[in-house]
Amino acid sequence: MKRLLLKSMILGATVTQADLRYVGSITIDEDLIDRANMSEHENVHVVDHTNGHRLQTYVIKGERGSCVIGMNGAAAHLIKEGDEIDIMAYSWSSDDARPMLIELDSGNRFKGYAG
Amino acid sequence: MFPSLPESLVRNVVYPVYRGFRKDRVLDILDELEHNQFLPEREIEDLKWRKLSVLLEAAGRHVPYYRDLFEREGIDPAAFESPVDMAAIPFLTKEVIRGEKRKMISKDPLRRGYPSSTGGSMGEPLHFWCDTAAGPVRRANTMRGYRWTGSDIGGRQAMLWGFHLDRPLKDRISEGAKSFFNNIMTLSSFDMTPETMRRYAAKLRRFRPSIVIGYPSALTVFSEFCRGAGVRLPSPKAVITGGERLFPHQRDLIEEAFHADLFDRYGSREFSTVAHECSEHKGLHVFNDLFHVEVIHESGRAAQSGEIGELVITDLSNLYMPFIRYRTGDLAMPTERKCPCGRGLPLLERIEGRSFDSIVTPEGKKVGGFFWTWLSRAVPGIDRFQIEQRDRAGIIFRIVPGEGWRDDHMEVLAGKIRENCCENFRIDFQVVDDIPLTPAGKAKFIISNIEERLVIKSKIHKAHISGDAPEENDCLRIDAKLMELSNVAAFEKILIVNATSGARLETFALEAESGSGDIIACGAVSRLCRPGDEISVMAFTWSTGESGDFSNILVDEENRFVRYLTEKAGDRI
Repeated sequence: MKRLLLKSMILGATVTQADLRYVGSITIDEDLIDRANMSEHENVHVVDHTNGHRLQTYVIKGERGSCVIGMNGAAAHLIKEGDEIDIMAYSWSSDDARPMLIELDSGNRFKGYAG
Repeated sequence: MFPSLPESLVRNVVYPVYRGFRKDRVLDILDELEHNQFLPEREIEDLKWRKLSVLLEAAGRHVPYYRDLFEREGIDPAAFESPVDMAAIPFLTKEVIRGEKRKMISKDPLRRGYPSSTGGSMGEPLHFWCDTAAGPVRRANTMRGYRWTGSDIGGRQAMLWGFHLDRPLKDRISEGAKSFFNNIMTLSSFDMTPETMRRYAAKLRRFRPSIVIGYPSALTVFSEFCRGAGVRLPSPKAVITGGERLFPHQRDLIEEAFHADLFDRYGSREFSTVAHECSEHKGLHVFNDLFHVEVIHESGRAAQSGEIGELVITDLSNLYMPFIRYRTGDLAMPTERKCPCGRGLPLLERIEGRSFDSIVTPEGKKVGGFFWTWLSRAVPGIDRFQIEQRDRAGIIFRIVPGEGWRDDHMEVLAGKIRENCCENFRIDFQVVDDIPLTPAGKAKFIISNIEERLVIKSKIHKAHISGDAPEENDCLRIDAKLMELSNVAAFEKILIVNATSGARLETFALEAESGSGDIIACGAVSRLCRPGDEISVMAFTWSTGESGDFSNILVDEENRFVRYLTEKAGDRI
């Protein structure tokens, strides 16, 4: 049976910019997209540890190595610059698929894999 | 359990009386079919051509789908001179039947039909109609096949097949009565535990079947179990297999377990039996007096003797909903060899399996059943195989080894796979004792467990709520023009994000008048989205690819289309 399973998770990201006038959704450093096994335009859930907001949106690529995590458009109402967030993506997979979890340091640099 | 009826009572009394009561002439048709089969091949071809001409004429005259198709493609079936000219008619697929629905059905007021459907154990079920006049022909034809095996009308049949256990009681009683009067015992291949198989064997010993009918894989499991557990089986006149590919080692095993000759047959719910082995076991005779069967090579031309191709079938008896050049998805190998039995029905070398499932390479190329079937014969000693894909980077290749298998064959296989898929395609070989069956008791040789990601496919950016309708059902009504441009369908689930208030919600889309510029918040949506609010509307889809088509449109203050957007980080509007 296929189940909706957690596929990718970026833990401890810090929002570097939040701008209502930017188009799109959530901008993520392309390096981090690759490391977390996410893809451009993929649906993600964003949860905000700072204020408790939860929302879903989709990924657009940010410059490689820029450590950018940007909330664009309407999402900037709920998630602000400096907030600490986790980003999750799910997929339809067979039962024994295991997710890719990555942890970031306070500067959004890849710190390591989480269990 | 009821005792079974004496075979002669069913053959000489129950069956003829019942058929006489139904007035369906099954026994007369059976006589006719048994006469046909020994005609010279040329005469059967002529007979087929006459029936084919009638079918094409009726389809073009009475069936809206074919009438339109022939007109659009400039096809005039009356000008056809032989079945070879049939190649001008485009293939019929399951998708076409699903899409055209009632347009597939004859408007001829004299034609009647009954609904039927495929089981769907291997995918989505197909609903279709069968000509009422074809029913008795199918029954007679199945009986013709039984008689080839040495059984006869009234002969006790045991069927190990994909019978669902959860049918309503009413159906079970009516089917039970039918089975009793026809001397049929049904055993479900969905339920094959050691306890049930022991019970099946005991039932079979009491029933003493004349023929046993089942899927090769289910009968293999059953035969292996009985041999291993020392459970005795009765010896029928014959075993008939169908529903999937039969491998040679399965034939040996099943024949040994039942001490009986095995006859393979090919058929489907759409057509009933299409081809059947005779007692010479030199291949499957195609019922050329009832079907026009083509074997189409991957390249689109007719497959030659010894090549693998897809079975494309025209049913000469179903004028109510004609199947003309229907792609079955089943693979077979034609042969020019003649059978010493003297029947004028041409042979198929063997049925190879299904072609619908495919493996996807990292570049997105689909490699279908044709290749994998061919591959399984590229080295000796593959008794059974299964390919499972969990991601695009590679596959798991499971092999049940048989006589002639050597481990270095894996390198040969890997080379051929990489040549056809890609250089660094990951192949994880597993040499195993057994391959589990699907819950229906069938063998599946390609399994796609590839992960599917949810990706954005539609967006209407910077739209404005033009009005509200709190009394209506919860939804967002959108100018139909904008829905078309952004690839959003009526009733599709959408995500609305409100740039004015920050609210985010999910509901579904419905059409508002095309070109009106209306975007109306209906029902509870009107609580979070007020007239004048700036919103974006998004819709997502499941994709196995990296990123698919994204229809992202920008609209102005009046909700009129401005242009398509390609978003880059940091773009502002």
